This record gives sequence, structure tokens and C-alpha cells, in this order.
Amino acid sequence: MINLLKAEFTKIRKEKTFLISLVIVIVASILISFLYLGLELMVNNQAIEEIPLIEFTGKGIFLGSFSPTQNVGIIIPIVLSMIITREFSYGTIRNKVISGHNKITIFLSITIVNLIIGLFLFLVNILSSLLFGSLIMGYGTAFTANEILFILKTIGLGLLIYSSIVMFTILIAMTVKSLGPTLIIVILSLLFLGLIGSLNQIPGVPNSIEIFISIIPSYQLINLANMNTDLVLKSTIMAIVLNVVFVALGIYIFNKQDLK
Amino acid sequence: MLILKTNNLSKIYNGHPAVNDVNMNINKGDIYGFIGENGAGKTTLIRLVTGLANITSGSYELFGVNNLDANIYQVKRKVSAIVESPSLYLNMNAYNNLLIQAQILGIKDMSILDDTLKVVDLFYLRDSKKLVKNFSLGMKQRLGLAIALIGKPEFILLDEPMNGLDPEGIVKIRQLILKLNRENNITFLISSHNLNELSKLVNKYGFISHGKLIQEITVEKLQRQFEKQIELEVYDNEKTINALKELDIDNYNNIDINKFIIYQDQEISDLASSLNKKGVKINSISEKKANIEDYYLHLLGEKRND
Repeated sequence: MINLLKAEFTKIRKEKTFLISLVIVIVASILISFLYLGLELMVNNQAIEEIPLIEFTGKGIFLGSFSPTQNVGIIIPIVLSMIITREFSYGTIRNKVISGHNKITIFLSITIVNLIIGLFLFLVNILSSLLFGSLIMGYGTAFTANEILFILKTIGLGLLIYSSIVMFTILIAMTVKSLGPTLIIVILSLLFLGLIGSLNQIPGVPNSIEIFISIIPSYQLINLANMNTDLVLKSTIMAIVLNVVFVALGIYIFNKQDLK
Repeated sequence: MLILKTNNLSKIYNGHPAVNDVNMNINKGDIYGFIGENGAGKTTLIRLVTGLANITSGSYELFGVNNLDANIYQVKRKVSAIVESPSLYLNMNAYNNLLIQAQILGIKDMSILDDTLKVVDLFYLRDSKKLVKNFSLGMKQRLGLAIALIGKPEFILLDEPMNGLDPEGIVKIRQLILKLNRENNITFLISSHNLNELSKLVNKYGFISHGKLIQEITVEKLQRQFEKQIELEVYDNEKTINALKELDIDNYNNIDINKFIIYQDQEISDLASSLNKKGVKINSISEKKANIEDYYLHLLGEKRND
């Protein structure tokens, strides 16, 4: 396993995909901060109407960066799909099997490395959004110890919830093995879940549906600011359950499938 | 010592047996030529033995260890393969491809990378930034071999290693295989369509058709059995078939109407006179050395008749 992890990290280091993604993530967070600034100016000049639910502060940009269907939230699954499916299109996954590693170890090593990459890029996105958003727009509230604690808790919970989106991407990429279909499945799933997640904002949604929506990761990610204890618990349990299910399912399918 | 032994190995895809009850035996030091038409099951068998495809039924033993044994993964460290085409990171250079493979195998001493590049005649690419996607097919094939060699394997499976190579590339790969076999005692299983090319390498053949291993035969035995063949051209096909039957000659191929190839160690003059006595009018009769292609076609013909 350690040998495979080492090889996976070397591959990531030698390929340019990760480095380019890192640059894109940082540049995107700067551009979004400027976009917020531009929108705020337009609202202030009454060029456009006030936009509900958007807070024109560094804190608003920071909280918005957790959205899985916007900007970087959707770039990361694309990057991971590219990295993983390349193993199959180049056929290099065969070298690992032929070298005497069992398929479970291979699946786990790829999962661990891509989970780390996905969460690292997501973290960079969050932190650079917080940094550049606050530098350009101002944080919005007093930067107290409580606020720092809020930021840390939000990041921790956000990463945990986002991990299930990363794991879903890994599962699809490892079992579908081809970039095009993987992207279609992952992006459509994210957009669909994002749509369901936003249904709660419509007044008069029945309670049963509201409960169902509240366990969807995309809903949890866009409502991190309003998390109560109940939702934090639900999110944590849901993320853990989803991750375990995705890994177990991935191992089962990958083990059953023949490799071309 | 048996390096690979398969026991009724089978693989069924959608009800169609791609490999059907194959019993194959490869000894240490063999260069085993695995011959079969397109879709005969050559690649599938290699994929089964290397673990790329799951077995439907049967089993195999590598270095005496059964595929269900927990030690099989340890034993597989002594095996490497190139299946269909070399598996390379096209977006990296040659050295980084070797580096990653060395890490997969847990190799600590990286000086082996340089040594391996020298073996496959690619050392000039040691510090080159040229990406593999810009390599010629021959260079890719040799880099694939380097990757296969890096773990110092004792058994290498090569699936169509000469495919698409130019004559110079074919010679280089052939010389490399022979060198590795003689100097490092590496056992090879080589599948190929190019029978004449294989005949310059191998010491044992395995013929596969429609998933079935028709025959395993050493080159020595093959040469003894089919050292020569007689080409016969007549005026009456049916009469000749009957005459051959009466003369107890059943080892022949009716390659075309009025054309026969007879695989029997017999004096040409004796055969001509025997046929004449049976009323067969001969247009031409000549003797020539049999080659592997003729033998393969003869085997396939026999199988079809079955």
C-alpha cells in the first residue's frame, strides 16, 4: 500500500494537472472576490436590483466558496475525474495489477490520494476566498476569537461534507473508467443535488421533504452558516455513512470488473 | 521447473467461451510462442494469468503457487507483462515512467533505472524532457519492456510485441528477448500473429483456436515431425483423396482444388509411383522444408475437420 501511495503522489507531482488546478482555484477565488465587488458597486449605484441571499463581504464570499455546484466546487470533481480516468486510458493501472498488488489495495491507494488532493484543493479554495474576499471586500464583522472559531468549525465541517462529493467522484471514475461518461454522471448528479438542496428555500415545502433535503450534502454545504447542533450531527453522520458506502461499493465493483 | 501451469482455465464472456479449458505448461527458460488467429483467446489468457481479468473456472499456478493461494501476490512480483500495448504515462518522460514503476514495486536503489534504460537502448533519454506521447512505436515498445524489466522478473508475458514495429524495431526487440533469455534466464510467453518472426525466437509453441489450446509442441519435436513436406498438384481431387486414404496417408492438407500438401516423411519418388499405381495423374510434385505457417494452417485445417 505504501509503495502504491508513494507512486500515486509521485505521479501527481510529475503531472501538471494538479499544479494547473491549484492555480485555477486561486485565480478563481480572486476573480469571484472582484465579481462580488463589482456586483456590490452595481447594487449601490442602483444599476441592478438587490440580490437576495448574497452578502457582499469577505465572510459572504468565504461561505459561498463551500457551494459544490458553483466555481471550484465543480472544478475539483472534473480534475479528479481527469487524474483517475487517465490511469485507464493510458492503461497504467495494469502495471499495478501485474506487479502483484491486489485490486482492493489499488482502489484504496487511488482513493486516499485523490481524496487528499480533492480536499486540499477545496481547502485552498476556501482559504483563498476568505483571504482575497476579506482583502477586497472587508471581512464584514469583527474578527474576534469567536469568529475564528466559527471559521475553523465551518471549514472542518465543510471539508467533511465535501469529502462525500469527492468520494462519489472517485467511485464513478474508478468504475466507469472513461472521462466523458464520468464527467456527465458527476456533473449532472451535482447539479441535480444542488437543485434539490435549494428547494428548501421555497416557502411551504412539506416537512418530510425538508427532512430529506437536509441530509443532502449539497444542501448542507450551502447552509453551513446556519448550522444548528442537529444539522451538524446529521451532516457528520451522513458524510461518514456516504463515504463508507462509496468505498465499499467501489471496492466491490472494481474487484468484479475486468481491466482492459 | 514449471513456471506457468494452467488447469482447465476458462473465461466466458456473455456466454461465449473466450478461453476454454486450457491446460498450458511453460518451463523455466522457455520462450513460449503462443499462436492463434484474431480472437482465438491469446490476450484473454494472458489477462487471466496476470490478474487483469477474473477467471470463470479452472485455475493456474505460477512458480508452483495456485492462483487462490494467499502467496500468489508475492509470486507475481516475479512476473511482468505487456498486454496489448505498453502501459505508459504519455504525459511524462521516459525516466519518470520508470521511476513510478520502481516505486510501485518498492524498489529503493534507483540506479536500476539507468541500468534498465541501457538494456533497452534508451539511455540517451535519461535526462530528456521528451514526453512519451511523442515517442515512436518502437521507442514505446522498448520503454514498455524497460518497465517490465525493472523488477528483475523471472517470467515475462508479451502480447504481440512486434505489432506495428518497423523491421529494425522487430530485430531490436527480438535480439533483446533472446539476450534476456540467454543471459538472465528469463522465461517468456510471447503471443503473436507473425509466425515466421516467432519461429526465430521460441523453443516451444502453443497453438490456440476459438479458446481451445489445440496443441503444445517443442520446436525440436515439431522439426522432427514436420521436417519436410511434399507439395502435390494433380488433375483429380477426389481420386487423390481416395488414393491417399488407401495408401494410409492421412497427414495432409487439401489446400486448394487439386492441390495437396503432405506432411509425411516419405521419399518423393515412392509417393509418386504409389499414386500413379492408384491411377492418380500428377501434374507436379515437389519437396520443401515445412515452416511454422504451414504447420499452423495444417493444424487449423485438422481442427475444422474435427
